[in-house]
Amino acid sequence: MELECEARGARLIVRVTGDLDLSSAAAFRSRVDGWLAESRSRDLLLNLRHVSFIDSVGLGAILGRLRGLQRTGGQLAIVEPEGPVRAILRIGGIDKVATLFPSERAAVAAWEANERGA
Amino acid sequence: MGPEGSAAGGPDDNTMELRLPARQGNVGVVRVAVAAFASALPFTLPELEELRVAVSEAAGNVVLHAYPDLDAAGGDGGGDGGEMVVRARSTGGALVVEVSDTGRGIADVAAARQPEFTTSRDPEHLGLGFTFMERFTDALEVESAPGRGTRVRMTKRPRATGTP
Ligand SMILES: Nc1ncnc2c1ncn2[C@@H]1O[C@H](COP(=O)(O)OP(=O)(O)O)[C@@H](O)[C@H]1O
Ligand SMILES: [Mg+2]
Repeated sequence: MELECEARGARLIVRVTGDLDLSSAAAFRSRVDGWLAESRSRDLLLNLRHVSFIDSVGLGAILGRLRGLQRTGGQLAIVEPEGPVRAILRIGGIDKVATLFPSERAAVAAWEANERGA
Repeated sequence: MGPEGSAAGGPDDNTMELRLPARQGNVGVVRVAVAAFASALPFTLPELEELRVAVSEAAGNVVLHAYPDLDAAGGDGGGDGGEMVVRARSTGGALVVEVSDTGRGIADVAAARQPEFTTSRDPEHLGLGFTFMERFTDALEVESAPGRGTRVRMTKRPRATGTP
């Protein structure tokens, strides 16, 4: 698994590439939490487009970040992976807890529209 | 091969056995090997993905739960603690995958199979492993004896050829 982050104001974008599973979940957790704290971001956009595999531990790591954001009034947005991995995430119920977007551009546009509306 | 060599069954039947130290990095090895084995059957890509998840959950459980010493080391104790054995068999158009260990076993299998049941101390472990295995295969059988080990057997049939 590889992670890349980009802070944009009150928002953090994290791009995940590879397998988000038992063997990478701990690194995902500590690095994302570190970036969130460092950047003082309120909201998180997880770009999962290039995730090639996810298991229940990976799903738990995403939901764990969500819980942290909820405690501080932040939101989680997700760019969905393509193909069969997307189906696994949906079955895991991710659509019930996060806002899903087809692309990073769509997610950022929604954020900006929201901002203007607020 | 003589007649006894045909124990695996018909001409299209195939078998595989893997024996690995129970460590995190080997879960990915098991996943790739079983998916490669399964690709000889007419599974669709979504079905193969389901299989990859189910097998990873079973193998991941061996790493996380079977051997308490490994568990204490965060599930990656280096593999000195125990082994996982994976057997795959294709027979009559179906795939059967067994993942077994000789670890601590499960006292109450029915309870462990319930969604969100977990004995993990990690609050981010959802307790959905068995739920995923059940959901992503056609049949899940779990045999376990406390102190002796656990065997999880999953059967999956390609939809295209399965009976409706
Ligand atoms: N191979 C195993 N050896 C010992 N205990 C196991 C094994 N597999 C599962 N368990 C037990 O069953 C419980 C439920 O497993 P699972 O549904 O995968 O959830 P999780 O792994 O998140 O705890 C585990 O918490 C553990 O107590
Ligand atoms: Mg599990």
